[in-house]
Amino acid sequence: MVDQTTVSKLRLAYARRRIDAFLAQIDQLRASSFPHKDFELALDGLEEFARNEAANLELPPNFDEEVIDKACFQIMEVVERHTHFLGFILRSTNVRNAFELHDPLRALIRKVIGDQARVLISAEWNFIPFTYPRNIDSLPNFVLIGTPATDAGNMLVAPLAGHEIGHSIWTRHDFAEDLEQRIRKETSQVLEADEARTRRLLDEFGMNDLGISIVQDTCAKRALRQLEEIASDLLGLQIFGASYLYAYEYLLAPSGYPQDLNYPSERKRLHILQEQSEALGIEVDGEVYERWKEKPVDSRRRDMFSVVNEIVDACMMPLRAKLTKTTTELSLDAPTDEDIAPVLSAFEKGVPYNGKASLGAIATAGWNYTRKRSGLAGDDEEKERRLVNDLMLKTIEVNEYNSRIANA
Amino acid sequence: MLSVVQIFERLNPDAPDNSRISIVPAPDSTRAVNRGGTSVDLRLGRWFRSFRQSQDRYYPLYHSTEKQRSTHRPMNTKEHFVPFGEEFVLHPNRFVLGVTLEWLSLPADLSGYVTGKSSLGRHGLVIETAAGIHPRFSGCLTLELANVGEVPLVLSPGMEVCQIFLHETAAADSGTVGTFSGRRKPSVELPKKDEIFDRLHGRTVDDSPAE
Repeated sequence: MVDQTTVSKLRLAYARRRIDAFLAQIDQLRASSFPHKDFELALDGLEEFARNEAANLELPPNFDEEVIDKACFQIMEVVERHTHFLGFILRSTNVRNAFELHDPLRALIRKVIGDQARVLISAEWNFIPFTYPRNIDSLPNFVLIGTPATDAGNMLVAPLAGHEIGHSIWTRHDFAEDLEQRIRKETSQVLEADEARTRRLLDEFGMNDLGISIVQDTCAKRALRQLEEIASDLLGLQIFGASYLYAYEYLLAPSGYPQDLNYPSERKRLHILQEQSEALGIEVDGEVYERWKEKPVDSRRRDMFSVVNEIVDACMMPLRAKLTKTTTELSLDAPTDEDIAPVLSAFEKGVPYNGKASLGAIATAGWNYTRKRSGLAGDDEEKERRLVNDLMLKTIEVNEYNSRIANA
Repeated sequence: MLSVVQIFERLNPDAPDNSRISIVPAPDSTRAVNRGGTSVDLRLGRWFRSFRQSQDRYYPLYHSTEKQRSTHRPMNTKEHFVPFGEEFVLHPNRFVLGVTLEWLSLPADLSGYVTGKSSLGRHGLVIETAAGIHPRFSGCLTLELANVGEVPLVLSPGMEVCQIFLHETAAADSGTVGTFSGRRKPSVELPKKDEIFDRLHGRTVDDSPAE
């Protein structure tokens, strides 16, 4: 018969070795040349978190087996979940990244979620738009912004950071709490309005009428997730103006991905963004909204998609009201044509803009230049493409320089 | 050669397009004009490029054939980004490329040169001497920085590191030297193809030896 104490002893030993190896990786990373202090502070935070978790392994081998197994499992989870972030931090040191973005992006994030906010910008080898985890419990004040490794230095994709900032605003400004009651109410109404559909959903869940609260809860949660994505899009648009849509198109068009219940359909997202840009008076080239593809929803899931869709539609008005209130409180103003024109004019002369300009105005000017030149994708346009990127990043740096001098 | 006052007249946004100089971020005009003279100080930027030790036995500064040119492998270098408020230490006998913080853009009728600041030179920091700046140049100036002194030197982005002198060219340049050439980082490039040198080495365009 196997001695359970020996099993416990080995399991605890392996868990200790794994967490020690994780801590050793942190030590190795400290030797890297970090472009900004936030990355070192992130390592401090991860180390403290890991050491606290390691303390849970201080158990004698003859202790309750369940407790030991739970402690070992927790270590396994910690190491697996956080190793990914060590990679993220390591890739942040690569000079392919646009380091000039860090300070202005952090200033923007501090404005919307508080002075304690810190930012990690890095490149992702397995980048999937909008699905990057926004933050982790062990680093509560850090906003993580992942860019595709191939475009890490490309300032034109930076506006998509607005979506990640949007998620932080959603959390920090209690969007979910404020909308929850309305979502519950609309969910009940939507399910009551079409009994046959609700019956099919109950069948799909394998439940009788008593299971309605589970169906309601599932639909409400999905609707909440979709509303968060919509809010993050709209906040991205508010911060970065038309450049948000251009970057969105650059990375995602023509789409054609399978639909996901956690996200509104691409066409719906574009439609909502179009409505909002018109409402805010943001000038956007109409081509952006054209020819987006969608895979049809799996017939077995069609009912769930339609219910969630209707709940989201019914909650758009309170969501817009909350957005207006929040963006007004935060003084988040979309870049105007007057903000963008002088930056574009400087770029057309081949020089960075020396005046004060928001990230949104700079990115939109860069996009306007690029779109006027049909995307600058020609073999003979490589120099010009690089120049526009350098002009945008230099303008960002000049703004930081001027701001530091003015505020000193 | 332009005086400081003349340089700042041309820096004015209202100056005609064909004679306007751009220096971004703008230098402190009051300080420069009060000091007088004929140069404008420029500051150190945040990007550096250092040279790595390599397994290569040597590095050719010219290419014998077109094939060599097309398969050219860049020198083994490493880029560094130093935020404002941080430092870069240049050790004795080490060489690094830096860049001016300012983006400089010249009109067709001006050229100039960049020199180090004597106050830094006296401490052992040498910057490429009298590097030419052509009409229509646009971009950040790459600076060759060498510590020829005895102690490590601490550099920090934003410090005044060099000065530019500008003068009018006899006839306005009609070339395209500045078109899309601007860069914000220090770059390392080999000299451009030199047909006379190729002929001297007995090579024709298709690389076959000349008869």
